[in-house]
Amino acid sequence: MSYLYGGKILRVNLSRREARFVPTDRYASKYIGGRGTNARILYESVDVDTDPLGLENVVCFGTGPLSGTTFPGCSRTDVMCKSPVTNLIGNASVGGDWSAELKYAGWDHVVLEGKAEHPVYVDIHNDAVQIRDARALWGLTTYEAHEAIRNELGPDVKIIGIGPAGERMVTFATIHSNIGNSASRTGVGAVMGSKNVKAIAVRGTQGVGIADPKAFLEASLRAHNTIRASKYYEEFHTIGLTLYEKACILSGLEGGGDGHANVPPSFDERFDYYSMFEKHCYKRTGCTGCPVHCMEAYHVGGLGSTVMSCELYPQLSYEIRNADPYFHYWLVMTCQKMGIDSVSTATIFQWLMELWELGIIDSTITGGINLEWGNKDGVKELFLRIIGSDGIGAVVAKGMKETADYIDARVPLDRRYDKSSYWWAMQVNNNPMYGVNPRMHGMALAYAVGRRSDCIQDLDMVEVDIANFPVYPEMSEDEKKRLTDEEKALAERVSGKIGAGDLDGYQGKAEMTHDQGITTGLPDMMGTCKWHTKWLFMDIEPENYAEALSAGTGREVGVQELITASLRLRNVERVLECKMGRRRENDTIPEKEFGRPVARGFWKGKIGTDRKEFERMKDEYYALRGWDAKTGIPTVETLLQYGLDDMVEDLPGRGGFGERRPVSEGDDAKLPDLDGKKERDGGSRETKTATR
Amino acid sequence: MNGHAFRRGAASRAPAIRGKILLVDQERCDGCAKCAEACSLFHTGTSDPARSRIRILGLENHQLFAPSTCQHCETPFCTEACPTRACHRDEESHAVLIDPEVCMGCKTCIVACPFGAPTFDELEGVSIKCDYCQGEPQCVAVCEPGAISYVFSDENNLRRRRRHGLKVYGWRHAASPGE
Repeated sequence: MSYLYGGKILRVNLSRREARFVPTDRYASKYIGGRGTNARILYESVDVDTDPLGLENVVCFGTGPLSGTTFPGCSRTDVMCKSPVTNLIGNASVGGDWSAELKYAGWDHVVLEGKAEHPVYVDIHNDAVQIRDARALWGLTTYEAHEAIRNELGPDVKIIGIGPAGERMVTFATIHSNIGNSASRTGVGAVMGSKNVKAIAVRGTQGVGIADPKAFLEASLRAHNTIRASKYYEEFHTIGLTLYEKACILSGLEGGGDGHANVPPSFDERFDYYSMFEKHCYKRTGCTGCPVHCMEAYHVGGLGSTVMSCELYPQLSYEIRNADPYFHYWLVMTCQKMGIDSVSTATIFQWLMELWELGIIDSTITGGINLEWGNKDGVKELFLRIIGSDGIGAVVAKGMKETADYIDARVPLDRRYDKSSYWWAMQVNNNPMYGVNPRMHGMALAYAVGRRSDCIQDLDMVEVDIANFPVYPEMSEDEKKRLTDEEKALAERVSGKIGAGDLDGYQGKAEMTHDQGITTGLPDMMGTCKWHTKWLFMDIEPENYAEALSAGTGREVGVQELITASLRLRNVERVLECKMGRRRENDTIPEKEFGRPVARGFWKGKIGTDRKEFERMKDEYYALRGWDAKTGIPTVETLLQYGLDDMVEDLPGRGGFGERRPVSEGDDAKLPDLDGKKERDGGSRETKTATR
Repeated sequence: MNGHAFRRGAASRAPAIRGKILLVDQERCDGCAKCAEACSLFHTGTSDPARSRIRILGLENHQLFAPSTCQHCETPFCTEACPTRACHRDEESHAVLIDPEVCMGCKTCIVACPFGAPTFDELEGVSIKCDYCQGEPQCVAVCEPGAISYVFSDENNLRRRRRHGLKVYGWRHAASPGE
């Protein structure tokens, strides 16, 4: 067994009820692990005409070399598949305790292929893999299903699984690790549901081998202390992101869309989740191996327990103008129990409520549901119908495009102001956007070029900070100014351009976005949390990863090697995206967002993204990435530079996209020899399968 | 194996154990399991909570957790029950230890312990339990919420007692400056 890796990738073919393994070495040297290896596996497994909810799609669960070690934040599982929302790459990351346990069982990745005959769950106990009957679990919430599996297999198993929404293939369904942790975006839960897999339960007792334990422990402790010394650590460790999100709302950054242009001031006054936090949060909690503990555990008598953090606060409250913190709490908790993405839910509700306000939809379209801003009964009713895929809920559950088509077919053009109702939808490639406003320049670019059509991966957090500091609660004026200046200096230093910290300018935004893309790619490959990097103002640098990898594997790993791997990873994903049809013109934000200033808050009437400048930023970004400026496809030179020679033939003009033979499932020949060696499939073997 | 070399290196340090106790505060534990990872890494050279001397009990759906480890009892059942005297009280450090050279792997200590502290290491074929890492418990070093502390016995639960005092006797106002 090689150090830091389990050494094996588990491929479970659900149609044939068999499991086989592929050695990790095939991928690890080039793609490290986690999102890197997942991207490559997905590249080899799906094609342009793969149906996201069909037999050919695969779901890859990936851990990284640092998963399950003492390195801080060693808890992330990267989930990748073809997305039913965007029809491009579906990718989400989940914390909790599952990733570490999978490593202890000796596996680096799990790939689900095919489709089970009836609901099943996969039980992995070290090398033994069983496919068990889950008909009794079907329909249970994530909380109940996890509890039932723990009762069956023992309290130590770690579980990742879907809720009722995933079973019914709601396109924004999630996959849940333990409470509060979910892989939410791009509909990964629906794909797992389409395979009839309720959960994957893991118990591992083999551990992760480490070449030099003493040096590794020292590197880990150094990383811990680095995090402890970071600027925001104290705040995130004690109150989480509650204040930060409040600043986002006050600055006008959070709460995109036109509906918020005329939020009545009385709502802003009534809106307050902070009292909820002070009253009902009983402890802070976090994932395996994390020193930050960014999440708040709540218990409200009569409603139940849940965990909240970050975006969850403003999404289902502010975005839909719901001032009742207990209703907000109920919505978030139900999202987690039912396995549905609260961000997508909030954005879709916001869109529908805006259409209602404009008079485009009425109760004849919504099936009698009143969708006035903040109408609790209406929200609750539609929410439950989405989860149950019932009536109008079944339409909304298919996503924004289908809902828009449904509305357009029933509402005459003149009532829609001569536009499709899709025009008002806040989406990028049909993926509902975060609440974060694309009227900030760097953010608009991050949304457009993001790997899964959202901003999170490439978000320029320095820009967010510069926008937030002037309104940051509980901070003196001097401090606000000092911190803003510091951030501006940082932006100029990182991007190397004067005026990069200027919110009104477009200078240096491409460089910052590119830099954040590299930064966040690294932890995704390592299996650690990107919140510990400078993405969220913590100071874990590539040097820390290099140090830990060197000590752990016993092989000297350089910083440049890691950065190259991160750049390579994005190119693999980009070729795959382009193969599935993404081009430069798809890298955009909603049409209506161009040329309009921030609608409310501190920055009201300011900033706004200009179309022409936006295209220029994209030119800059593509040049930095080495992508063709006209099409957005990586150039041949770029692929050769990162050693992706075998992908060159997939580029248009060299055989082209879609011309390649579609790979059939379980075909061993499809796995290319990355090392050029003719190596067998690590002894493909039948693992015992049993039904109960 | 590297892990063993690491353990021997650690053992050569002077023990500072006598009079100190390892305490857990379950209210603070958030189940991150770093203690188990660090413990197994220190003792076995692999990051493997299944071979750790400290375990996390969890009620995941309510986010309630408690670390559980050896209490180093004054009248230990494990030493009474051990047929080979591998499980013994160390005179110098006053800790209850299991000597892996003498242990025959009969698991009697596991049966005897009312707290379920000792576990069986299948790879080495011996019972294992907390030994305070020769005076520098790794679990305490990595515990971020401060749920595990290693203190002199007269200092135990100072924090909790103090908090109780502030609350019950109404000292909270007196304690906050400027009021």
